[in-house]
Amino acid sequence: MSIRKNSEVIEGAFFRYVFNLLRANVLRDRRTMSLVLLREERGDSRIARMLKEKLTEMLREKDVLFETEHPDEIGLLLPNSGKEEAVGFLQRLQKVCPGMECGPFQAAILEVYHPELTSENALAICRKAMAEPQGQDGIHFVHVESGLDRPVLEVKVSILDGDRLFRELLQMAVERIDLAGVRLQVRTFADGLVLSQSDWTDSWHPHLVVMSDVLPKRNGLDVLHELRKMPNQEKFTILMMTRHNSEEDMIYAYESGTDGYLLKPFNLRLFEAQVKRMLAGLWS
Amino acid sequence: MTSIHIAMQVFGVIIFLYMAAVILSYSIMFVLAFRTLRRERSLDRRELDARFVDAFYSKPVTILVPAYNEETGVIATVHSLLNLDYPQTELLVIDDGSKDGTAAVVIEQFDMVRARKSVDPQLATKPVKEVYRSRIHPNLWLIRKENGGKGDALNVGINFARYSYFCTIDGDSILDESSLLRVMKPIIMSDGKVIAAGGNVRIVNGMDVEYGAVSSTKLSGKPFVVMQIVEYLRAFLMGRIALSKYNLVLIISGAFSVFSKKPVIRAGGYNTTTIGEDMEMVVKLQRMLKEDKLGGRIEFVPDPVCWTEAPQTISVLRKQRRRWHQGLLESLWAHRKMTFNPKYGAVGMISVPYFWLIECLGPVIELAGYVYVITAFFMGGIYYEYAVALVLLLVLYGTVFSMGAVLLESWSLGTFPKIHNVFRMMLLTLTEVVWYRPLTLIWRVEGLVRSIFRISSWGDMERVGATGTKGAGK
Amino acid sequence: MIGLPIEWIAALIIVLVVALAVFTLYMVIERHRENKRTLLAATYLNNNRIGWYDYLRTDGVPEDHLIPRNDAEVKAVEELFRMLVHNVKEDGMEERISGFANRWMSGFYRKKLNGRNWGERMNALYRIYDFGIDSLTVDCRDMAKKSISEEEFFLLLLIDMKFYPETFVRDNLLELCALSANDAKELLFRMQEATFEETVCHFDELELTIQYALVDVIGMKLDATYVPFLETQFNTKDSELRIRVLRAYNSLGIVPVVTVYEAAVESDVWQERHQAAKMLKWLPQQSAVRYAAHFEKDDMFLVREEAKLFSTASSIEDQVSPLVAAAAEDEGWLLDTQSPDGKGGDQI
Repeated sequence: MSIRKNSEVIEGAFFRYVFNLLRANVLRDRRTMSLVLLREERGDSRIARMLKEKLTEMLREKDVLFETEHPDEIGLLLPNSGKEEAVGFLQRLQKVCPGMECGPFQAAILEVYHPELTSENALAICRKAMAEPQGQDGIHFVHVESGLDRPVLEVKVSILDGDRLFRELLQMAVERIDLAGVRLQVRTFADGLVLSQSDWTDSWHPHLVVMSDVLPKRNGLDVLHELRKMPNQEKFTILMMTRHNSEEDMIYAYESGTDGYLLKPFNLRLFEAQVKRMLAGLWS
Repeated sequence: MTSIHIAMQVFGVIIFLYMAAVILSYSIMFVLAFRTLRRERSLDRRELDARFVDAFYSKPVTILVPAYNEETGVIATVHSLLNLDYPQTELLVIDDGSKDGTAAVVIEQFDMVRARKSVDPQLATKPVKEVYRSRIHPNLWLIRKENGGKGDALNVGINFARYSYFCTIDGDSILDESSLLRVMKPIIMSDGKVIAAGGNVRIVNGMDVEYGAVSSTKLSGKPFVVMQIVEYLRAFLMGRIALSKYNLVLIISGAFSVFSKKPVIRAGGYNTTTIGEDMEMVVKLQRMLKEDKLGGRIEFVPDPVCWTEAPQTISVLRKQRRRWHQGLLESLWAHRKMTFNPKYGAVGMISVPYFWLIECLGPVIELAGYVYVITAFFMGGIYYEYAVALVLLLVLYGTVFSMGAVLLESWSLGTFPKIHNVFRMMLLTLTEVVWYRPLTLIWRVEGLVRSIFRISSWGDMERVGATGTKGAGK
Repeated sequence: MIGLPIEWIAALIIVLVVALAVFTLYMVIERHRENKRTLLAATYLNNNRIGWYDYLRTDGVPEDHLIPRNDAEVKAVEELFRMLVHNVKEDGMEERISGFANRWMSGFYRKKLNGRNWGERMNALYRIYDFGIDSLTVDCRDMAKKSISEEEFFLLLLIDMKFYPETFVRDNLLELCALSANDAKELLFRMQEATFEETVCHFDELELTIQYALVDVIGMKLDATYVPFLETQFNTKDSELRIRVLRAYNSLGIVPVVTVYEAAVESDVWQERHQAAKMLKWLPQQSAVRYAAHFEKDDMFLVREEAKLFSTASSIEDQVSPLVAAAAEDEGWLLDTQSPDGKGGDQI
C-alpha cells in the first residue's frame, strides 16, 4: 500500500463518473466499497479544509477524496473496504490529528454494492442519517443502510462423480445450503468430458467444482488442468474428492490448482461447511 | 481292398478318434469353467475392488505401453490408463521407433517436456533416444527408442520401471476402470506367490469408445468381427479358466497382463527374436519356476476386461492368425524339452502336450478332416458314413461349443445386455463350420508351415532357451 | 462297419442342442426378470430419493414407503447404502443405516447366507459387515462352523471383529493363523485400537507369518506407541522378523535406539544393513556421515546405493532409483533366492 504525498480532490461530474466506475468494479469483483461523508458540525469550512489537507496525505492510492457542493463536507470513497474497514480508517484519522483540525465532525458510512445506487442518492442518504450535533471534538460516525439488498449472486456448482447416487446425494446437500445473497445453480456430470464439452463453464459466474479424481473419459486432473488454463480461471473454486490416500497425488493436485481435498469417505457436514465457507468468501 | 481304401479307413479312424479326444478335453474344460463361473456369477466384485483400492494393501504398478505406429489408437489407450482406479501407478509409453507421429501426438496431447528418469539397465536393449514427462499427469512418461520390436520395447520399459510389478498393454487396447485392480487381485491376495496374471481380452469393434472409455456395448454388424468375438469367448471359456485353476497356464495375452519384475528379469526379459514374445515369456517363467523350484503361480483372471481392436479385413486377420500360430509353435519348440518331462510337473505333463497336440497340431488334423469329408463324398460308398460322422463331429466341435460359450458368457458375465445380440451371435455360429472355421484353419496351418521353415533356417534354437533361463545372471 | 457310432453322435448332438435351447429359454426369461427388477429398483430410488435423504440426515422414523417391499427394492436400498458407506460418514448415519438394515433387510440376507451360491453368500457377508447388521451375527457364527471357503472365513472374522471386539482375541487368536499374510494385514489394520493392543500382547502365540504381518501393520499405522515393542522384537533370532522390525521403524520414520541400530549396521544379513542405510536421512548429521562412509564399503550393491543416495542428497525432482524403490516395496518371495546385483544367488 503506497501512500501518496497529495491526493487529488475531485468534484462534480467527474466525481459522478468515478463513482459509477468504482461501483461497476464492486459488482464485478464482489468487493464492497464504502462511502464516507464527513461534515464539520458547525459548518466551519476552514477546519474542513484543514482536515482535507490531512486526508490527502494519508489516503491510499486507490481511495478517492471528493468535494460536494457544501464547503463544510468532505467525501471519501474507499474501494475494497466494508464498513469495518471504514470505521478503522476514521479511528486512525482521529488519532493522527488530535488537534484543531479534527472536530467536531459528523460522519456517515455507507456500503456501496447495489447497481442502482447513484452517487446523489448515496450522498442524500448519508446526509439524512447524520446524527444531531454533539459539540464535542472528534469524529462521530453512524452506519447507514441504503435500504437496498445485496444483489443476489448467481453461483454455479458442478458435481462430477461416476456414481449416480452419490452425485444426487451431493446435489441435494448443496441445494439445501441456504445463504443470503447467493443463488446456486447445481448441475451434475458423470464424466469429465461432458463438462468440458458443455458451455456451462463459459459464463462469468463464480463456479464451484466438486469432482472425483477418478472419472471416466477425462479424469479429475485433466479437468483441473483444463479449468485452470481458461482465461478467467479465478472464477473457479475446485474441490477434489479421492479414495486414494496418496500424499504425492494430493501435493500434485494442490500444486495444479485445487482449492481443497476430501478423502472418501468424508463427513457430509464437513463438506457442507467447506462449501459454505467458499460461498461466503465470494463477497468481501 | 486297395491300398487307397485302407488308407482312407485308417485316416478316417485316426481323425475321428482325434476329434473325439479333442471334444472330450474341451468338454471337461467347459464344465470346469461352468462351475467356476456359476460360483462367482452373482458375486459383487465392487466389494473386492473397494478393499484393494486402499493404497496400503495394493502394490504399485508400472504400466508399459509399447507403441509402434499407433498414432490413431494410443491417445485413447493412455486416457483409459489414466482413468484407472488404482492407488499408485506409473505409465510408460514406449515409442518403438515409430515411423508415424505416435510420439508427436502423445507429446502434444499430454503437454510433455524432456525429462530425466533414472534407469536400471538390467536388460540389454536397443538405445533409448529421449525421455519425456507429462506436465499434466506427473506419472505419465514417454520413452523414445530405436526400433527393436515389441519385446525390446517392453525390455526398455522394464529397465525404466520404478515399481516392482509391471503391466503390459497393447498400444491400441482399452482398460475398464477396475481392470488393473482386478487383475492384480490374485497377486495381492497370494502375497506375491502369483508372479504373473492375465486378464480377459475382448473385442472392442462396434462399441462406442470415447476418450478411452467404452460407453455402450453394442455388437458389431460385421460377421467377421462377430465371429472373432465368439472365438475369443470360446478360447477364454474352454481353456484359460480351467488351465488357470490348476496352474497350467501357458498363454496370457500380451494385450493385458501383469508380471512381477524380478522373475522376469531373472528369466532374461522378453525374447526379442521370437514372434510371440508374450507366450514365450509365460512358458519361460513356467519353466523357470519348475527348474529353480520357486513355487510361484501364473493365473488367468476372467473378470478384468481389456478391450482390443480386432482386424477388420480378411488380409489383416490372416496375418494375425498366421503370426499367432507361428508364435505358438516357436515358443513350444524353444521349450520342447518340457514336453512330457516329469521334472516340469503338470505343466510338462499336461499343459505343454495339450498345446502341442490340440492347439498346435489341431488345425492340421481338423483341416485334414475337412479334406477327408469332401473326398469321402466323392468316393461314395461306405465312406458316406465316415463323412457323415465327421461332419457331425465338426458341427459338435464348432457350432455346439461356440453356442454354448456364447450362452455361458451371457449368463455369467453378460457383456451384451441386449438379448437380440446374443441371438445374433448364436445364429452366426451355425454358419461357422462352413466358412470361418476352415478359413482360420488354413491360415493357422500356413503359420505352422512358415515357422517350420523359419525354425530350420534358424539353426540352433536351443540358444534361445538357454539365455532365457540363465537370465540376468551373466 | 467298423462301428462309427453315428447314431450316438447324432443323438448326443440332439441332446446338446435341446439342452442349449432349454438353457437359452431359461436365460431369456431370467434376463427379462432381471430387467424388470432393475426397472423396479430405479423407480423406487427415483421416487424416494428425497425421503431417504431426509431420513438419513435427520433423526426420525423412516416413512412407510421407504420400506422395501420386494427383492428388487431391497437391492435398490442396498445400492444406496453401499454408496453411503463408501463415500460419506456422518454422525448418526451409520446407526440409521444399521437400524434400518436390521429391521427391514436382515431376512433377505439371512436367506442369502443360507443359500447354496457362494457369490450370494459372499455378498451377504459384505453387506452384513458394511451395514452393521448385528442381528445376523449368530447366523454368521453358525456359518463359521460349517466348511467354508477361505474368502468367507476372512469375512466372518472381520464381522466377528466388528461386532464382538472385546472377545475377539480370546475367541479367534488361533483362527488368525489360518489367514494369508495379506488378509492378516488387512484384518489387523482394521482392528480397533484396544483389540490390536490385545493381539500385540499375544504376539508370541501367533504363527510367524502373522507376526510378520503384525509388525508390518505397526509400520502402516504410523503409531509410534509401539516402538518399545519393536525394540524387544528385534532381539529375535529370526532374521526375517528383524528385517520387518527395521522396515517398520523406517515407515514410522523413527530411528531405533543405538544398540538396535548398531546391531543392524553390523548385521550379516544384507537386508538389515539395507534398512539401516535407509534410516541415514533421519540420523544426526555427524553420525549419519560416519555410517554412510561405512555403508559405502558394503559388499551389497543395494546398501552401497542407498548410502550413495544419501551422500549425494539428490534433489526431490529426481526419481527414486528404481532398484531401490523396487526393493523397498517388495514383499517378495524372490528376494531371498536371488541376489539383485546379479552375482548369483548364494548370498544367504
